[in-house]
Amino acid sequence: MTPDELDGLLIQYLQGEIDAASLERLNAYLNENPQAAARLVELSDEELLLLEGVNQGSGVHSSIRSSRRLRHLISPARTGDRTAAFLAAGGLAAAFFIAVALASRGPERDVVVVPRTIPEPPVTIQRPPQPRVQALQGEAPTPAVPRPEVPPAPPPSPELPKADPKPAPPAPAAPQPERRPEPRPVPGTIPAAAVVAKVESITGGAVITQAGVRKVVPGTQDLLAGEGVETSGLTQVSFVDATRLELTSDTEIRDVHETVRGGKGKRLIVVRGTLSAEVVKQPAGLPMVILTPHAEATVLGTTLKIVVDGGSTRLEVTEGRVRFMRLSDRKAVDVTAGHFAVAAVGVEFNSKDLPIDEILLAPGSRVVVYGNHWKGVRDEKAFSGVAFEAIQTWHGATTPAYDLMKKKELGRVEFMFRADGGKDYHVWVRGLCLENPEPRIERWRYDLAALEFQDADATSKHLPLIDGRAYSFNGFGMKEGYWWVGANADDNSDAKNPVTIRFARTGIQVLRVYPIETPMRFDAVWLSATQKTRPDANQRGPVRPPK
Amino acid sequence: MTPEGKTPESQNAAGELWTQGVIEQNRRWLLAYLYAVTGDRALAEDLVQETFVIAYQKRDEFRKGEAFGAWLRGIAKNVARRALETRVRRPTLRLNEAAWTAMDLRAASLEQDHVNPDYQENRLSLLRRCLGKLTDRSRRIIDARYNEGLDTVSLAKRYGLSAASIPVILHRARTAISACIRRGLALTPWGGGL
Repeated sequence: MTPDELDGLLIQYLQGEIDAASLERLNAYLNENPQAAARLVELSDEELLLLEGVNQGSGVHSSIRSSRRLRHLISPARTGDRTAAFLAAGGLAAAFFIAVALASRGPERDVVVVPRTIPEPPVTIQRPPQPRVQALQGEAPTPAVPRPEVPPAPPPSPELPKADPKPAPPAPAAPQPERRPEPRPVPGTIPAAAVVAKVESITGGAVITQAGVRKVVPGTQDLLAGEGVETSGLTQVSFVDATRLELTSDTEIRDVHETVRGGKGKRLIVVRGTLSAEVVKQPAGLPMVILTPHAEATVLGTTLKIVVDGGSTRLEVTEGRVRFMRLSDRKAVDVTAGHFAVAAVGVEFNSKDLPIDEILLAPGSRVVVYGNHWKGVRDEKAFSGVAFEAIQTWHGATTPAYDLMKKKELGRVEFMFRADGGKDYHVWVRGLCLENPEPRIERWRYDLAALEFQDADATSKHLPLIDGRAYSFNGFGMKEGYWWVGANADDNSDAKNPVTIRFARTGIQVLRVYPIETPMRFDAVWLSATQKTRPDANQRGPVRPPK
Repeated sequence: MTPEGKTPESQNAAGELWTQGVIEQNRRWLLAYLYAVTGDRALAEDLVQETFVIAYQKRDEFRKGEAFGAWLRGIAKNVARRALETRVRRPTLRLNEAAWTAMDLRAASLEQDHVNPDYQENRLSLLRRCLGKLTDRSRRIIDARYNEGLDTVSLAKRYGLSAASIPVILHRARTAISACIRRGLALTPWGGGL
């Protein structure tokens, strides 16, 4: 069976369109070729992605949205009743707990009833009166608010409506009024009362602001043209065209407007805080414009993040291209995917690469295994339940493996990944020794892997093996089970002095892992710009400071 | 890594395991695994929840240091086998142990991909971009297939094509999308090498 034939039958099977004869044929083939069964899982994953990505309005999509909210609601930083948080999350979380409750009450059930959503309790925000911050048009900061200094007033943008020039009177979180106030009419835009987006408070809370009036967002609320949002937790703003904004806590946006055909594109002002945006492709000639006190970003369709603090605006672009203009001198740069720029007085204004500080490499689909010395094995102690194992031994002698390595005949695991050039990465390998000789000290003969980096040199005092750029990671047998080794762990000298490498240039890099002293396994390689000391055995990536 | 840098495995104190976004982190790959096993997406969604229910009930049996995903897959496999024996009336695959193991290993790789909380979002973003690179006809057929749920015969009728040509067009489109997404993922930083 050719790969295309196999894929065709697997897809028919997944889509419920396979006939009995083809199913029999497929069944026989999968049992004779188990790797083809792995392909079935791949295609299943791809089918689900297509269903979710293409079918924006399906139940799949809405369940995904619930899950996104669930992720935020059950953050460990959140305090209080976690069960309540689950129940408030709706969707899967609700289904899960209801199912648990049902299962715990009676005999085992064959089918779990899955309500898709449950009503959410209204969210009330207890928030002290808070003065408004400086508007964009040169208004002096409110003295009572200790905010970072905002640079001199930028010239008003000719493209955007002006922000409210007067500070709003302090207003405590008020119960939602029954009648919504009339939004300001803005010449050239859609009618003032039009709904432009939906605001959804994910965690913490949010208020909709308009001319000094503040209305609590009870879960989800319509946002009218010209209104703004202030957040005290994670908040999502969704436009009709699926453009989505995510606002972190203590972020304020104002004057949100939808596209007007024949007029202007979407636009809004970010006064402070952090806004991440997934902007779908906008109509030709009608880009979305995001204005901050320091800059203006013009977006046709991309994924970006904007961080506004007192003195600067930082734009990070994950996808696409954004035109970014500094307001103080109206200088503009194009910021493309994987780059950022900062608009601030006295700061060089250009597009730079986004830094890549942490890279975790592990068994997975973007790894190639060459030769037959390494193989993927199931291992419940491995991070992902899978590890690379090399069984071939030379009875503790390293020379045969080195000889094969020199002749390029030694099997290898090859990772491809993106990393920064000119940056020091500390290298850690998580592995274990599989040999248990007597006496135990003899384990030192069976626990060495060599890592070869392409176009990189060590900046630590570790000599490369042979004549290449391979470095030995040795001493996995000094402890039981998996642990991180940074160079030579036999004498623990690597604990604070791991191999540190520097790539010649930014871009796609190649790392090859060779088995030298075996039998051993490894399940991860971690390149870190920050982890200078040996990580805890179960640590995967940097430990972030508590918020 | 979870957004907080913690792993489910490190949170095994009674009940704490379930507060770390464990459902969110494991749901997608588990669904893909069970969909592959059953060939029925609705059933697979039910089985995902049954798996979590059983895992929750047996949470005290989970040993610290054990790979959580492997433990979950073990439960899912049993749930799926029982469902295939008792609840599925139509003919289904009857896989031998070697095929189950291969699927299990592939699911482990999927799990590793989904460790990165941004992985799925990245894929969806790439999918949108990659759809834009298809020919207009392929894009419309993909949309009709996955958005409207049209089967092969209906697609052929709508687009005036033979029923035999639809699977070919869909296959080519899916292959192009898959390659495009893989290329895009290879360029992402954290987790890009996974």
